[in-house]
Order: sequence, then C-alpha cells, then structure tokens
Amino acid sequence: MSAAANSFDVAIIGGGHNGLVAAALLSKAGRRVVLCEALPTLGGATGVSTLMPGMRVPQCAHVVSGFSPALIRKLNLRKHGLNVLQKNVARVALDADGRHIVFGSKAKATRENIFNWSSRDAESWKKFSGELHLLTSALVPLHRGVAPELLPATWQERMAWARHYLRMRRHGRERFQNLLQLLPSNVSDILDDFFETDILKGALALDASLGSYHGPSAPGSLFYWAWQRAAELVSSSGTLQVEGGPVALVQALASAARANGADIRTSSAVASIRIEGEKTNGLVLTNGDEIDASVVISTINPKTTYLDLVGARHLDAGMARDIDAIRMRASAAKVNLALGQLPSFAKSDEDLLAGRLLVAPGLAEVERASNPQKYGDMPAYPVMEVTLPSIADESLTPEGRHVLSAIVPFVPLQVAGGWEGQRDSLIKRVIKTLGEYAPDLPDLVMAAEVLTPKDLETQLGVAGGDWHQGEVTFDQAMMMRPVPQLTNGTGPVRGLFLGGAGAHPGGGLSGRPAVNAVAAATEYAKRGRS
Amino acid sequence: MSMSRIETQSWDLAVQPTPLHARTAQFNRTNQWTQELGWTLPSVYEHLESEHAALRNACALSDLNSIVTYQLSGPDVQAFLNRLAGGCGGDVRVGKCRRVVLSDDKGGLIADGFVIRSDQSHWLLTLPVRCLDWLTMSAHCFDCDVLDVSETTSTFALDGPSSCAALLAAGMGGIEALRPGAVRALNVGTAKVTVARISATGGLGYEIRCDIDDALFVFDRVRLGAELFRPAFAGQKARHLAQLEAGYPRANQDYESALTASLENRRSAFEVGLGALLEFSGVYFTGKNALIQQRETGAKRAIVGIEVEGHLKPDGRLVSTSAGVVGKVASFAWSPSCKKQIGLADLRADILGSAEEIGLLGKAGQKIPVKIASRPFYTCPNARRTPPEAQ
Repeated sequence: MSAAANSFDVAIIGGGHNGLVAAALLSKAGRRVVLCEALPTLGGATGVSTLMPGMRVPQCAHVVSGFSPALIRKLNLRKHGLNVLQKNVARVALDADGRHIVFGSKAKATRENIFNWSSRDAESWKKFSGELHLLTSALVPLHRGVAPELLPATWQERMAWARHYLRMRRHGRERFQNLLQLLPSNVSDILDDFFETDILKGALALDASLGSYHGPSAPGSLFYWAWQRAAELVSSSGTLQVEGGPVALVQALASAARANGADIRTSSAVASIRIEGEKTNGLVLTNGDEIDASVVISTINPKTTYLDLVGARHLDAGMARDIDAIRMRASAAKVNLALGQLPSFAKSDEDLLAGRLLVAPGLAEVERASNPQKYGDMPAYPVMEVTLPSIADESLTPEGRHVLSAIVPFVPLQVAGGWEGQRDSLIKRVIKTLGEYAPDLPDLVMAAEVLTPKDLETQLGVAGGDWHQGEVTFDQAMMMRPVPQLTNGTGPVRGLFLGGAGAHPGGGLSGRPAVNAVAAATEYAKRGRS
Repeated sequence: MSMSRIETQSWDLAVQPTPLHARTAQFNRTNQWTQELGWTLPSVYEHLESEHAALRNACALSDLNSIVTYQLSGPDVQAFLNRLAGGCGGDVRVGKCRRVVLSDDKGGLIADGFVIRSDQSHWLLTLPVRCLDWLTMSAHCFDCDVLDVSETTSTFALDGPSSCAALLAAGMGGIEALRPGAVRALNVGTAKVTVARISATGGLGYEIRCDIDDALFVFDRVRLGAELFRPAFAGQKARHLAQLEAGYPRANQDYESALTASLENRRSAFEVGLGALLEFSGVYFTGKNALIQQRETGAKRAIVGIEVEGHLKPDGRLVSTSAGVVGKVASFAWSPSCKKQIGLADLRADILGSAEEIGLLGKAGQKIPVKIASRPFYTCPNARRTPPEAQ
C-alpha cells in the first residue's frame, strides 16, 4: 500500500457505535478518517446472531437506549437505512397471573396497574416518581457535553459548576437536602420506604441493577440507576427499537461514514499507538501496517488504550496505577431463544409484550440472584429483562415465529468449574423461570444460545465482559471517568482522545462519548493549525 | 565476621544497629547517637570540628548504612529508570554512576540519589528516602524487579583529599584510575566490594559497598590498611556540615520528599535546584508534563544558598523582607571551610529577582542582612581530578 493511502487526519480505534459516530461526524466535517476494527464485523455488542435459518435475534444489546435523535437527523441516518419502529419502549413488570404493571409514558395507567396490587403503593407512586425524577433530572444536564471540571480554572468552568448547583438548589432547601441524601443511597432502601408490593419492588430493583455488578442493596446503587435513567431521558425519544435490531443503527452509521469517504477497515487490530514527543502521530497495526494521523480517537476501553496501546512508559507512574485500577467487571449474560409461536403470558397482548419485560418476583429475589456471582457462581433463580424483538420487527422471523432475548444480570466472568457444560444449565434455568410466566414457553423453544460474559470478552472484544468499559459508580463517573487525569479530552498524550463508553458520560448506545471526543479532537486540530 | 548480625538479632530494638555498629560503637567516644531511617548512627565521634577537618584535609570513615539501596534487575531496567528518574536515569554506562532525581506525577521531588551500574546486569539505585512502594508501582508494566537490599548490603564512605591514597594503601589497587562518578567491582580478600567515586561532601570521596557478612572485615581492612593516613571517623553532624558546604540539599531536611510532604511543602526538582538532572528532549518520564508546565509558568519557590557576613548569630529560621516573611532557613551552620555562616533557605521565588533586602532576626531582635549566594559554597580542588593527588 502506498504511503499516501495510509495517511489520514484522524484514526479511530474500535468499530462499535461510538467509533462509527466519530467516523461519521468527522468525515462529514471533511476530515480524512480511517477506522480500525479488530473483529471481522462492525458493531461490537450490537451484532445479530442467527439462531436457526430465518430466525435472527440481536445477539447482545436488544434496544437502543438514549441515542440522540439530533444525531440521527444530523447524520441523516434514516436515509442510510435506519428505521425506528418504536420510541419510548415501555418497561413491564411481568406477573405470572397477569396483574402486570406497565411503566410507560402514561403515569395514570401505571398507577391503575399498581392499584391492582395495593392502594397504598398506588398513592406512593406519584411521590416516588417525583423523588426519582428529582434525582434523575439533576443528572440529565451532566450527560450533555463535557463533565464539569474537577478543579475549575477558568471563569466558564466555574460558571458550569454554578449552573449545576443552582439547578439542583432552585427547588428549595428541603429538596436539595433530599437530593443529597438520595445520591449515595441504595435502591433497596428507597423501594422499601415507598412500597409494599413485591413485584413492583422487584421489577424496579431489576431495572436499577441491569448492567451493574452490584445488587440493589449495595451502597451507591441508586446513583447507578439514576445515571442510567438520565442517559435515557437526555434523549427526547428515550429507548428506541429499530428495525433489524441495534445492528441496523451500526450499519446506518457505517453507511453514513462511508458515504462521506471514511475508510472503515475490519479485521485490522491495532498493535500500538505511535507516540513521538508526548504527541501521537498514528497507529501501528498488528499486520505491520502503519497509519499516519495526527489525531487518534480510541473508542475501546481506557485501560487497554493506555496500558497496552500507549504503554506505561509514556505515562506518569501514578497515572498508570490509577488506570490499572479502573474497575471493569462482568455484569450480565445474554440468552436468546427461538420460539415456534408467541408464548402465552397471562393476560397479555402484543403491545404489552413489545416492551421490556422485567422478570423479577421481588426485591429479595433480585438481591439473592446478585449474590452468587461474587463467589463465581450463577444465580439459581435468575432474574432477567426479556424482550421479544420480533413483535415490532417482523423482519427478524418468519410469520408467526418469534425470538426472545433475555439479559440475565449477575452472571460472573469466570464461573466455578469453567463455562464448559454450564452454558446449558444457564439456558435451562432461564427457560424454567420463564415457564412460570408462560407455561407453554418451554415447549415452544426451537433453538437457544447463550452469550456468557466470557464470550462477550473473547468473541466481541468487550474487556472483562463489562459493556460500560468501566463500572459506573460515583468514583468512576463524570469528571472522574475513567480517571480524573483523562477527562474531557485531557491526557498525557496530545492528540489522543477517548471516545468510548469508558469516557464521560458512559455506556448505553448513546454515542455521546464519541460526540465529546470529536469536539475535543476538532478543537485540538484547530489549535494545532493556528 | 557476621557478629553484627548476631548482635542485631539478640537486641529487641526498634531502631536497628547498622552492620558496622561494633566499630562505630567502639570508636564513638562521645556516645552521641542519631537515628536515620531506622538505623543508629553516631552523631559525633569525638569532636565536630576535628571530624570536619579530617573530611576536608585528610580522610575520614563514615557509616553510610542509612542510605537506602535498591537492586534492579530485568530486561527493562533501563527503560524503567528512564521513566522513573528524569528521562535519563537509565542512560548509565557500565562502570558509571549517575545522579538522578525522582519526581511524582505532579513534578514533586521525591528524592535525589544515584544509579550505580557496576556491571552489565547489576544496577543499584541509592536514595536517601524509603520509597519501595513508589518503585514497585512505577515498575508496573515493565519487566523489571525491584528489591530492597538495604538490609543485606553494608555501605561506608572514605572521604577527604587523602582517601584515594588511603584506599591504595589498604590494597584496593587501581582505585586512582577511577574518574568522578565511576564505579568498580573489586575483591578484598574473599569479599566482593564495589567502590564508587561519589561523595556528598563535595570533595574527593568513595562509597564502598559489600555484603553485610563482610561488612566488618572490609571496614577493618580499610581502617587498618590505611593506618598511615590516620583515617578519622566522621559522624553524621560533620557529614551534614560538609554536605551543606557542598551545597547539596538533603532530603527531608532541606526539602521534604513529595511522597510524605503536605501539598504546600512539595518542591519540584527545579525549585530545589536540581533541574539540570532532568532530560526533557528524550523519552517520557513521570512528572514530565507537570515539570514542562512549571518551566513555562515559573516556579513558586526556590531553595537557595544564603550567606551571613559577620559574627551575629541569627535566632530563629524565618527569612523576611520589609514586607514580611518570605521563607525559612532549612539548614544553617558556621562553615569552617568558608569561614562564614552559610545555609540553605526555602524562599518565595519572586524574591530572587527583586532588589528586596532579605534578613534574619538576631538574638536582640536586630535584623541580620542575608545574602543569596551561589552554590557550592566550598569546592575542593581535587574533587574532579584523576588521578586525585594524595596529600
């Protein structure tokens, strides 16, 4: 390959949605962009797997949460094949006897559902929603743009803090105090405070713990919940379901980037980031190719980026230690089932089943399910979030058939005794649990697959099986994400920016970390030229 | 031969006797002791002035076991040292020593010490503070092992203008060919010894290292072999005085190690006056970005040499101008070599360029004018000569 063919303005590492957002944005702005993905396919955790001929299911992520509609418009993704099937996908607390609770956009309907269980809880619902909203809305602005600086130096940075403070303080002293009490609190205490219905508490606790290593009674779990909710609320259309599954989003992004001339290369793993005089000037690939670029955006996890690709010798010793200490922990497994027909959940219709079904009978069950993973075991009675993507998306299956996709939280990276032979037992436990809700479901299963956290790591390149690229806890969030020295486009290597889920504001399919990285990189390039 | 070790084990002491304790105790006629990093060292053997005179005019033996010695091994030692110590800590040829500074992430000076490389694979890092944790942490991602060998090595020094001749007389042939900062491995009897021509006193001097089992044997060989040169014994007070005259700041006296100092007491290598030991044109090292920034924005503090003319003795340590206090004196002493009072002071950096008169307060409350002086206060003519002339 000639030298000119490997010379670009920007090199992007990682072909997940964040990398593609960065590639699409930068190529639209007229930069010469190359994107290097180690795997043969793009999309990382958004892939589609074929369970059996004609039956496709989102392999890992099954909904698109918090992807900014502005980004869809800006990149003209509809033209590139993105078709949004439903917005604001509702959550449903599934009940075996049909007294489901739908947490949708209609608060009154939710209250009526809860009233079927307890009039007291129905009354509390409004107050609870208010408290949660207070907490979430305090965090929503933090998802927009860069995180406030830990040590504000300029007037603008101080003003950013002042704005955040005033926004929280404007509701008065009592609410502010309430907010400060809630922020470090845990999910299970607040649920016990408000409610008595097990299924309500269980569903909310499950929703709060999805993707987290910790169960609902761990300190700080409320922050995780609020942060994830804020990530969803910051986008006006909430959680989306798109035709073809999240991979369609990735394909649309790739198509948009390619249309603007971005060079997207799969099966090209990066060996190292080239550094000369504390400045990056390109990449070295494992096949020996070298890529010249004065700006590098890494959307893979910060730990691998800095310790493996950059190398500790280009970092301060204390910083290398801090980066090494970033916690990345496996959080969930994925079980996909191919079903002969729609399983008969009690008193359900297609509208209900098109939501995110929360299968958790109670708070105690969620907590109990979260325990064994600490000791390398699988939960005996798993709780899970289930979707039936084929209801809204007919392209996935032949007429009448359906696929079921279940995220099973609290499954460890390494299970005691190894994953060999235990995969089936996880599938069995999931089917058994679901059988209690839809008695015909076990007989409808035509094919099944499981994606353990280990598979997530080895097959999809998700280090540690943590799809957040670093646990979302208070000490690893906002201006401390991934570590304080690397926030908001700062870092020891000039020209290298983090744009993956490991950077602020974090995981989910929002694309926001990439947008931040693109802004920082553009600013850097502008300064370099002047 | 291993008497010291036996004695050490039988005493239940929090502050350990050094491997040379049998001799230091034997010759410490004042029985004045001091502790450094957990070791017992003689403060004054006989008389401060006579010990200082021996350091400057003849030769004197001193126990250096309070220096912490780390042994480094592995294929990445050089890269590790470059990253650890100013970008050039690993650029040491075989048979050479290099003075290095260790900085933390924010550019704070952890310590200044020496990298000693006596042969291809044998690297030692000697420091005046304990920082194994920092070294281990810095070795992360490097194929380099760090081992604290302070407890198994014994170090003593022979300093003074006649020290080379004295070592020759003690049977260390070839020592006269050692250039300043050179190191050589020798055999003394059956004992393996490394001799490095480095000295904190600013004059000619040698550091002699060996295994603790051989400590007393080697010490006695030098002491008795050099008897014609009448080696004196120099206690810590005399050594510190000589070090002050040489203008070398002492860790945890003139500057506090950044690992233990509070935020406002952390000083960078620039502020301490050791900026020349940093290599900015080479590879990255810990603290480089912070130090580049400091070089651009300017340091806030400066550790400088000061002189007081006349015989008025200051009372207290605060340095002030007419506007107020601007710093404090860390070390201060009457220098027999310079025949005046000298010291090292930690001052606000903006004072240096200004025409402000600084002063210390005297006993009667009068102001004693203080002059900022260049370091070193005293230079020894044969410190850099090879072969050094015997006197």
